[in-house]
Amino acid sequence: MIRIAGLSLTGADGSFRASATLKSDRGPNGELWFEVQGAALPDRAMAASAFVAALTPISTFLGENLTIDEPIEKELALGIEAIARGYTRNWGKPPIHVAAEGVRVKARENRIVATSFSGGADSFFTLKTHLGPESVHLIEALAIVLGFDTPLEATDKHAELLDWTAELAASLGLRRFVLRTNLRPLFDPHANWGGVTHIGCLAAFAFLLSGSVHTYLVPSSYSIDELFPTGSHALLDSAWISGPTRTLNEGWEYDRDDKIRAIMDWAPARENLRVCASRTSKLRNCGRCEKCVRTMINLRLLGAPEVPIFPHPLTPQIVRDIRIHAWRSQDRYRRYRQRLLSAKRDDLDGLASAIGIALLRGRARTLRYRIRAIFRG
Amino acid sequence: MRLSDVRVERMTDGFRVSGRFEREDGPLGELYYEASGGAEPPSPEMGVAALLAAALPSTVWLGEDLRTDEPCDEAFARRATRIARGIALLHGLSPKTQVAAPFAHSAPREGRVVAASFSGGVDSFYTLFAHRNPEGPLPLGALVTVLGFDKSQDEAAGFGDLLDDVRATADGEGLRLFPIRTNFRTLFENSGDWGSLTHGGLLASLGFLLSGSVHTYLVPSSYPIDGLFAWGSHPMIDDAHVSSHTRIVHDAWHLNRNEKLPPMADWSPLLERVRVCARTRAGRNCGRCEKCIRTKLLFYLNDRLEAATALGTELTPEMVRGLVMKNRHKIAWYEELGAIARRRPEHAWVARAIRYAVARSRWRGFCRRSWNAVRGASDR
Repeated sequence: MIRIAGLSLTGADGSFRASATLKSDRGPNGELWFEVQGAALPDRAMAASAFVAALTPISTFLGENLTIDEPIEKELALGIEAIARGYTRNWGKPPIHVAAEGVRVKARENRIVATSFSGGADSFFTLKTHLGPESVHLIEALAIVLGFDTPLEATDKHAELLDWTAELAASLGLRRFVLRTNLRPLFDPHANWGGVTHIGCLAAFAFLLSGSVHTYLVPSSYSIDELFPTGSHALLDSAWISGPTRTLNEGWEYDRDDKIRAIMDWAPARENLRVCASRTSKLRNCGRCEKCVRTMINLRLLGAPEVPIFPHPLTPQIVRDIRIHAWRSQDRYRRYRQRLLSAKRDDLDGLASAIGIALLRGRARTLRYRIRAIFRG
Repeated sequence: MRLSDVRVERMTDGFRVSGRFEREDGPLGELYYEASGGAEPPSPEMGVAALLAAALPSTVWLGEDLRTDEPCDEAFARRATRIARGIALLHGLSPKTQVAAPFAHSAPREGRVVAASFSGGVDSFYTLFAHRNPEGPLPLGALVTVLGFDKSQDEAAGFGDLLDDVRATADGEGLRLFPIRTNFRTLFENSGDWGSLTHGGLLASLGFLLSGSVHTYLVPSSYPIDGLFAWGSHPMIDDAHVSSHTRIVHDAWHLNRNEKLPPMADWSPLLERVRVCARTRAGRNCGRCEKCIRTKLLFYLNDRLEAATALGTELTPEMVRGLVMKNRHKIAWYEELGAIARRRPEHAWVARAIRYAVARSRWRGFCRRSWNAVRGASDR
């Protein structure tokens, strides 16, 4: 069982901290905290709901029941068993029980729509799509997270992120909420970040921002035709519904290539896009990791001019060196094959042969992985 | 495709909404809905939204745009093109459909309720069972059942039996019943496959259609989160149908059908009135088609087949061994049933019979695919 105890909510409107102690047999132990700047103080039950949201994915993954000493928001309390069941089904795990009492929470007036914003292609697409008065969800704030894609101690990267997102928010007339958490160092030893825990963290942010936000957009990582059991699933992302605030997975009608196509004519994205998956690089985009190279290939195939967000131009050698993990994502492998065909069609012979070699290497790596798996039993 | 001549008319015990669709290459015809049971008519712009939602999957399948000069609910009209895009992506179709309509907005009525689509099957009964608690998150106030969905227009007699059963269930739970008659299936018969595509449009349109009486419309899930595929009713597509008056909620996607039965296995309305048959058009279960046998197996494995008077009690190894599963989703269902059967020694015969039927279905599928490949190659 994972138990959430000793909830503490300190601070006031504009700056507050929520923390609680986690006790478990097989999961995270210790203090989990969130610090929020720029948002109104949430109701205590909403802060408790945030901890339940953060812990539900990892509890379902570890097969541990979840309990909290504090009451959570009533609508969430009524729906949490179904959400947890959705997670366990998604991962093929047995059901768990979530024990939480519910209380009604009165929502404040004049709250807004905010979007989770990492600076990546999905984030920029959501931002661009919902900026104008004609949009379905008029975004009025960006939620910037520290300690998510970058380590908590990477203060120089955080400073850079805060600088350019402040400029971006100001130029678009948006508010900005800044959130910090130690969730990753606490959870990473027990479950995979991308595959399991990160969406719970986003739902927790939504509930922590409930004093200022009624709808929290989660830019989709995958389109409707490529869903698979992972941390961010459009159905589960949108399942976090409470009386005052709900999450909404946004953009699942578009695949990543479409999103990049849609944002590259938009100056804020062209100048600030940050797609890098490397946690060690000191650059905004390393230009060498698989995600950077994939984006560079997309841009080349779209005929986009060289953009200043990458430290060097795309070369066949860089493409040949990327690691395509075919066993992890058949879909990604398939998309590289599509890019190979597009490159051939567009007479980009150097790029086509480089993608071909990367795919061959990916297959060889898959074969090696499978043979090893057989010997390891 | 173009929608015109939309009418919302009050009738004695309900209302009628109709509109005329024209394809780019000629007229398609009039789509109508007749709702009874005292349902309040929708506002004009919600009537337009209902008709557009109905036509959306077919329009995507045809690769056409969907246009009207009639004002449509703004919240839905703004989303419709993106819903069309989602449908296209899900089904591997070209995402080029644009939906264009003038915007309109009106205030919703007070005193509306939560309603659920109700066909009398296991999924429908589960949604009713799960939401009958007045203290629950979405307490039901009404059931909605459709003529023109599982049944064609000329089988109105059989529909009477079904309606009697559904009315008894609704009355027993103290719920209102809104029966709806429509020619949807006939009109869109040649504009996309009913099961895998177009029926989702009908379900979504019903929610909008009933917006005079309903604020949330529950669509019982057919498949769980880990078994989703390109199917007409899909949780992401259904839930994307948001309007100013009504939202659609795809209900219970966290459970598969095998998990829905145990919590309500002793519930007499289910045992007496469950209706799943895909073959018999007379309102009762034939007891011998694939869907009837699958449901019987489910009741049998929960020790409730004897009590399920609506299904008939005959269930033999030969019936199970003779099953043909036409796709991998059905095979997955049966494999889960087989896993449940293996838990108890007295159900071992079920596990064996299912294993045989699955193997046989897989072999037939392999032969069919191989034959198609050979035939395709020789044609080339």
